[in-house]
Amino acid sequence: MIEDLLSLSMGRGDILKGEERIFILLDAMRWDLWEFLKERFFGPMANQLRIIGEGALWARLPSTTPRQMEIFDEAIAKDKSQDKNFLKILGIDERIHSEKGGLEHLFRNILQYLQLELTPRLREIPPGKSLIIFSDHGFIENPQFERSDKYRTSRYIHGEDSPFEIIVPWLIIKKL
Amino acid sequence: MNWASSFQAFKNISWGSFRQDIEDLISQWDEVKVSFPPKEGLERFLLASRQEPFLSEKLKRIDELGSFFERAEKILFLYQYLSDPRLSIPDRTIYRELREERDELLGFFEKTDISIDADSIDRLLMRFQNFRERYINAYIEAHKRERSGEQFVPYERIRHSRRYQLLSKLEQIEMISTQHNRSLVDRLIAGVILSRCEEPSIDSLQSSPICRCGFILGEEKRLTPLNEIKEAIDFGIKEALESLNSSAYQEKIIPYIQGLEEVGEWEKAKAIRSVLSFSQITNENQIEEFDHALTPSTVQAINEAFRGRVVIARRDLDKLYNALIRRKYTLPQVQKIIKEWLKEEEISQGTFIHFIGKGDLEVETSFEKRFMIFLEENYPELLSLLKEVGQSLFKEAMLISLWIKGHGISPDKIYPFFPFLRKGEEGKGELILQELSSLANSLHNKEPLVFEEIVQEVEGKEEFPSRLWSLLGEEKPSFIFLKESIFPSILREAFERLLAIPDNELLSGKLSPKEDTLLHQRTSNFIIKQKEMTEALNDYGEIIKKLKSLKRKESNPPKDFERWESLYIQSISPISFLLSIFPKKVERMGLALPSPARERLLEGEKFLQVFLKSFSVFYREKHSALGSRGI
Repeated sequence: MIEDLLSLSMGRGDILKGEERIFILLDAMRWDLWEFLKERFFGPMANQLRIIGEGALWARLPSTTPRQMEIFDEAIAKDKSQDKNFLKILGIDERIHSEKGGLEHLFRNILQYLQLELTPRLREIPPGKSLIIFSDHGFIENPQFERSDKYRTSRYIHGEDSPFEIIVPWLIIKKL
Repeated sequence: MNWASSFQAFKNISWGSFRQDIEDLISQWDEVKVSFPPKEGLERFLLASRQEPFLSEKLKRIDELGSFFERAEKILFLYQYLSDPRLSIPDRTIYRELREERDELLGFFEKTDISIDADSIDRLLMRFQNFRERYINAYIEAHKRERSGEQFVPYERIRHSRRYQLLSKLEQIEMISTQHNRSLVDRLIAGVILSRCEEPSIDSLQSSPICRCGFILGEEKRLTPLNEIKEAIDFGIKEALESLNSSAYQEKIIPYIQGLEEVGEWEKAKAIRSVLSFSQITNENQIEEFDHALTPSTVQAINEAFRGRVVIARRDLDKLYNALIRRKYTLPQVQKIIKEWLKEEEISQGTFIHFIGKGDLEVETSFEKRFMIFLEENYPELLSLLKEVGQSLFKEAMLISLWIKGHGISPDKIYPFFPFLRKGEEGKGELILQELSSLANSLHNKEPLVFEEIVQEVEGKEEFPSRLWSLLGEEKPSFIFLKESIFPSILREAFERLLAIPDNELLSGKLSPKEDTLLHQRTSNFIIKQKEMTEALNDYGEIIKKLKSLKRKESNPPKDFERWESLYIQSISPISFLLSIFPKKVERMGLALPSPARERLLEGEKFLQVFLKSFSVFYREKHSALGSRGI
């Protein structure tokens, strides 16, 4: 669950206890999108970033951002053990709700967005810092979506209980 | 006589007197007319002959003329051989007799009135035969001294030396440019080796005064000294080491190594440090140690260290050239022009400058012209071959020479398609192939658009693709697909053959095109095509694998979080993604899915739905049981 993020990262030897951590939320990054980004976004940055850990989180129902953030904020408020910086990248979810093209097209758009939005921010982070990147929920292709009605119906939706919406990734990254 | 008198060799024969003799003889026959009775006719003929006192001499001369014409072609050949400008006999003591004999033989044709009597012609032909024999002996001896023999062996060995291999490896470090680079060394070696020619045959020298390699008697070609080439290699290594140890490079590499150490990639960091520990190389042991340390993965790691960390400024040398060429400036003016061209104020100390040029050529010059310019500038020794066999065959041979390397095809198999490679001495065909493949490789690296244009041109020839497939024999489509690096048509056909095979076991494993560090002949467009097809094939293989895994779990779906998580990450998520993108990829390539592949996709969709329902039941149940706060 999302609140487990704090204890998950604490338990790893790669992040020292008390070390300042930067949490980055990639809103709506589902698992296959993460696999895609791992190769296309993080792969080319291998000389600047190293993924040193990854795992899965389960989203609560309904699988929406406000619900997950409610839980996460509570957990953060309770945890006083470390300094935390929190960055929200919301553009993925925005694209999911507005995209009418196929999955590959959606992923490429997201990749392009992250290259413009996230890359400069990651570059600014000083070497040696640890980043915890995580998602809050995923999404699923709307079975009711009709191409002929594409201006009124969303092609991608979330909020329900499919594994695509519920099981989402977290990862710990070290800046080189 | 009309035919013979047109030749330079026979210009001094008194054709006029022969014509007169013949006319005189013909006039004898004019006395014989059909209107006279036989007796009277004969009497008139004899009377006319009595009025021609030199009749027998004239008949004899015309007989000799007939005999001369029987050997006229031999005499003409003799004259052409002797007057061939390539029959050069140097003005040296050892060749003096040969020279004098040639001059005397040619003198026969210079006389004001050439004698055509049988004895004179026999003597002439005999003398020529003797001369030619002596000349051929002298030629073969000199040819052997200059163009063949052991002197070439050490040059051939250089390419296999550890130092040469080391220089080749150092060239793969992208940010290092050295003045003494491998291309320079290759050119020096090729310049020597291509002048080699094994002994010419006596038969060929009997019809032509020189060997087909073009060697002229007395010619002394200066071969680039072996030490000069070895020195160039050593300089190249030294320059590369100096670059690696310079502060501009160290500033980028050291922090990268430290970063690797921080994330626990000790081995990689150690390997780079080991390479950097060599500041100079003075003996063979160090060469061996350095060569051992510079592994392909270390080279890759060093390249990685620079990516994204260095600023590269491009400066066009053509602009500087145009500003300076054919003009006169004072030193301060020149300094000002160079400074303006360099835009020094925009460059920091750590910036790498990438020099570019031929910008105009790239835009305005046709591919054909650019290819010729490239050939003239980089492989001038191959120009004569191009002229000999023509552009079309030359380009085919050039591409195939590189292509067979990638597919491990023996050069012997392509000789029937290119007979010119088998002409002449043993071993030269192989050498030409080596040079042609080096040209193809270099053209690809430096002029990829020209290379692709040639590939397209050659591939478009009607029988060419089937010729390639005939060379591939019974090779499996998967191997062909992976090894292919030049011809997109081969790639497409191999791809189609692979997808049409139902349940192909090879597709259950990951395909990865062959990466040979010695062959970088894939152009960027080719890489894009091959990558796209490889991805599609690998996607299909993955779908088959994941489907098998889901089938195994169908009757026994997971019952806890951990197993669901694992099944989702390992199978459900990937297969769903692949089922969505795979058909689109194949469609983009302009291909239709074969029926076994279509059936697999439908089966995949069916299984996916089954598991989504099971998951929903599982999670709803767990979620409500746990309440709204935490699991």
